[in-house]
Amino acid sequence: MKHVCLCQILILLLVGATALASTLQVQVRSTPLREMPSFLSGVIMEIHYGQPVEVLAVQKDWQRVQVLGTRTIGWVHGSALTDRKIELASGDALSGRVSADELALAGKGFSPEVEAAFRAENQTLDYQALDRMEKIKIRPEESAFFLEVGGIEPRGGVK
Amino acid sequence: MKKRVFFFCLCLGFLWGCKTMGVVSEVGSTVGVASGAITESQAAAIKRSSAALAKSFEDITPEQEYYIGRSVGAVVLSSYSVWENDQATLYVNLLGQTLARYARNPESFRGYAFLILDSDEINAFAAPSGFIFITRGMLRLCSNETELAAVLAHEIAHVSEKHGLKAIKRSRLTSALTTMAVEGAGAFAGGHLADLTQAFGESISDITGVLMNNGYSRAFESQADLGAVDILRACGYDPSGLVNMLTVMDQRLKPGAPDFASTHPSPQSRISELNQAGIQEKSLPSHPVRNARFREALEGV
Repeated sequence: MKHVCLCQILILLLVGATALASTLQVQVRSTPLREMPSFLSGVIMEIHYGQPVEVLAVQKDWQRVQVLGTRTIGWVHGSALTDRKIELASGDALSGRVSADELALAGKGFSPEVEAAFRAENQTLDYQALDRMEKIKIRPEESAFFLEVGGIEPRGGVK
Repeated sequence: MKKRVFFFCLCLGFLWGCKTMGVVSEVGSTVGVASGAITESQAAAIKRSSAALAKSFEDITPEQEYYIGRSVGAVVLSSYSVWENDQATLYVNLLGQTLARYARNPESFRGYAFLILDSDEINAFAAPSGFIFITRGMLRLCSNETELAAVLAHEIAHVSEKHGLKAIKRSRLTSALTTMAVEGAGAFAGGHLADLTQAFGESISDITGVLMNNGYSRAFESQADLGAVDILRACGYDPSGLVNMLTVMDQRLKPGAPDFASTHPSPQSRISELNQAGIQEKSLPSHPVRNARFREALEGV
């Protein structure tokens, strides 16, 4: 009897683990869904923070995913995805049953509200340069061109 | 036999439970119950999630890392002004953001970005989430693109390895996570923002203290040097650029100056570690396009 129980628990654990492993969420503000596993490949669409995706295949650092609830399939860099649950109810009260991971990811931690409060207490700090700085975006094609004309050849090809 | 397997599983479960039962749940529930903020059952709910809490100590989410990085950057910029030179800033970003694509974590919450500080100090700072600052003094030490790539790759490696976040004292996160857990239990309507902001401010001070005053541990610096070598190799730059750069620094850094010398191990010791990893100083072949763009972008530095 004990043995049967143990088996059941193990099966449940395994099923749970598989289900978790195949569905991931975007953990960066936004990331391109690409046609091929390369930063240089064409962009199908931008996917945003919290978007759930189902993993279909993995190739080195890249994951081939299907945007959940759609038929759209493409490649995303693995570092843009997480297997922890992201709740988008930022600002709403969460029920006592959610896990701490969910709390951490629900904007309940260091968030825009916390930054605003910190800025109010430290009014000499200047965020304008930061705002400007984070807008400087080098596109993958620009990187590829920069490397090519500079005679730089990445090991394993241009990313 | 069956009994033995069952006993083994039981032990394993017990050990696992011990390992993940963090100090946070104790703090969270004890403080909460004592202050009357939460009930016993809510405290139990917090205890149940202790495993996840303990884990998130080491594992701040990219979004939170981004807000920490912004404020660390703002503190750095309160001590230094920005060198307003679009041409040079664009060039450093072209090189830096290209290198970052070859880091272990190329996707931060809003991407890597680079800014030049208007200072003669020989210095560079990497704030979490990819806000990287380099002084004009440091740029002047670089005699070609490969050497500049080496400096930027070292800073990118600090970000990618999350060294900034690891500088935050555990106690800050304990209090932040306790606040979050108590709030999550639905009983902490007011005051949590103030608590979180305090923990946030203290976390920022922990990081800026290390970046600007105390320096990272020797282990983190050598990890960043070896990480830089990986990035340079993957991207196609000669990692010898790093050894060349450190040799120049060894000649120029003045002991006791409030710059790179005070926050980093001696260039000599870093060079010998790199030598052990098979990377030697060498004169790099010159490339007409690379030399031209490097000189043109940084001519006013």
